[in-house]
Amino acid sequence: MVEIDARDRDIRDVNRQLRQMAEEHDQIVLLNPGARHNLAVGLTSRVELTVRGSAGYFCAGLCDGPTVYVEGNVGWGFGDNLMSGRLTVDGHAGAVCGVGQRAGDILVRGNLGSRAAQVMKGGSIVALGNAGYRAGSMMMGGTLIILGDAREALGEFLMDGEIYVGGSIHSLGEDAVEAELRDGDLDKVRELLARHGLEPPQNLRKIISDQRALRYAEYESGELLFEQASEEKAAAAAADGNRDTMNFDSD
Amino acid sequence: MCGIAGVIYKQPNRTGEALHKMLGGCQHRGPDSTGLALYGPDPGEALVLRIFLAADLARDEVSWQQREEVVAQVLSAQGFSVESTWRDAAQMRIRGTFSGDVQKLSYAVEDIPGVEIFSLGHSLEILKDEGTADELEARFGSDAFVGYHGIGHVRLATESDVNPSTAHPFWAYGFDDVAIVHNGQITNYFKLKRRLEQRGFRFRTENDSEVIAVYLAEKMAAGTSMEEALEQSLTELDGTFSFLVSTPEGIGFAKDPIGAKPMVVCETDEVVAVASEEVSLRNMFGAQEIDTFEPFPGTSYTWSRSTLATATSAT
Repeated sequence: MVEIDARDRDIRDVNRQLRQMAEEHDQIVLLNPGARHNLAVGLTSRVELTVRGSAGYFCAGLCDGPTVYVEGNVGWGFGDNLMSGRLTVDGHAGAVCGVGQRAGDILVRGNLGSRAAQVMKGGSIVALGNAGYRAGSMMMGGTLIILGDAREALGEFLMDGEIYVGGSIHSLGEDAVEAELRDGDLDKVRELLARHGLEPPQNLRKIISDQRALRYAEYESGELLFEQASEEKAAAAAADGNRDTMNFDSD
Repeated sequence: MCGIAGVIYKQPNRTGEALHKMLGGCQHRGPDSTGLALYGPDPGEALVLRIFLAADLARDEVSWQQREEVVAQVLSAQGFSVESTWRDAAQMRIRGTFSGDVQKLSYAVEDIPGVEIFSLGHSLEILKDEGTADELEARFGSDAFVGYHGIGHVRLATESDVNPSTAHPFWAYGFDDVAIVHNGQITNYFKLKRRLEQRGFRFRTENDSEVIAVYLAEKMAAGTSMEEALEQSLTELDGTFSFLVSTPEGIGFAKDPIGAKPMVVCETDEVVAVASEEVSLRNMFGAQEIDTFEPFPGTSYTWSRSTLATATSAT
């Protein structure tokens, strides 16, 4: 294990050194983060980093692979565009936590600020506390699990993916609907929560896209060709008795 | 972007220093100008004016001295008796006694070409200039200021010019002891400003934030509490905003319903501190461990000196 002290240092330098250290060490402890911005951005190895205190905006952004543990709070944009890895925050996260996340797991032990999981595409975000305004807005995939309460406009214009809420829901956003839990949903939630040593709560509610607002009634020309091509390919594969095609239907 | 900060202590403390630390911690949000609105511990009889001599001295062929004399003449004509005057280049502080209408007094002073009032009040003093929090402190020695509360701002100019007049905090022109700091854009600014101008209120700048100060001060002067005025502002102001308002009684905030601008609050047994970012709070509290929270969008809250001792947290 090695330590790196961020006090009075340029954050670019700190991040450069972090990336170098991550190549040679398995465990790194970052001291005196002082809630400063852009800490631990761009880590692409399977290093385990502990941040001793609070971090500012865009902490652990653009990461692929690391395990990051923040002992305090984080500001806006935590885990921005996470490609893989596991990020944990002991305290609260500011707005747009996990914005554009592709994969990997984020755990926030406190509350989420506004617009958590905005344009999230994959992976999971779990919050033990409450989620602020417009959580899951414009989500395109992935799973957001809020064990506390959700504030106004939950899932505003989400296109795909699922939101699970353990507490109360203040209101749903446009194009978001509550759905029945199906077979396998609870198993999926249990599996995601088990990664953080957590159990699913009672009365879990599921929110998905109503898929009305951001869909066109008419196909666009390219889309139609693509659709036809996939259908033809599927038909050909079925004729071969080998359905080895991509399944575009997320359900 | 812009960064805001506010602080209110239960016992008199170095509010200037606390705000200096908080603003220093978020200077990256606004490198153009920095300002403080500080309140003395107890409003006295005396009225304090912070004045900016914005005139182009070379063009107008006047000296600082002459400009200062004109200000003194106008004040005296209005019945203001000057006790002391301090001046450093374009910035002046005048202390004196006055028992008339402060709106009339302030309009008379501002009628002098190239003269602007930064603040006027029995307790409020606004210090603002281009540059950083450190530069502001070096110029005014504001770290030594003692009081219960104050607010501050670092500015990244978006809607109007960079000069000391358009730096925040904005004094509610014509209303003693009211100030605001704002992060965001008020999109119904022109409409609000026009309505207030039709009712005889004046504005000094083309800055959208100035309207918030006069808008709130007018409500409060008519008997609306700060709490109610802030509540009303959530629907009457349009745009993105996280702002703080201050009076001799205390401070309050309002946050727009779409949560576009940040705000973090920390309450301890001694003090309530509000800032755009946690990094400001960490800078102020130093090694002391603190709990912080982000107020929800579309909410407002106030902390007053008289009720702070018994107040509970904002959420």
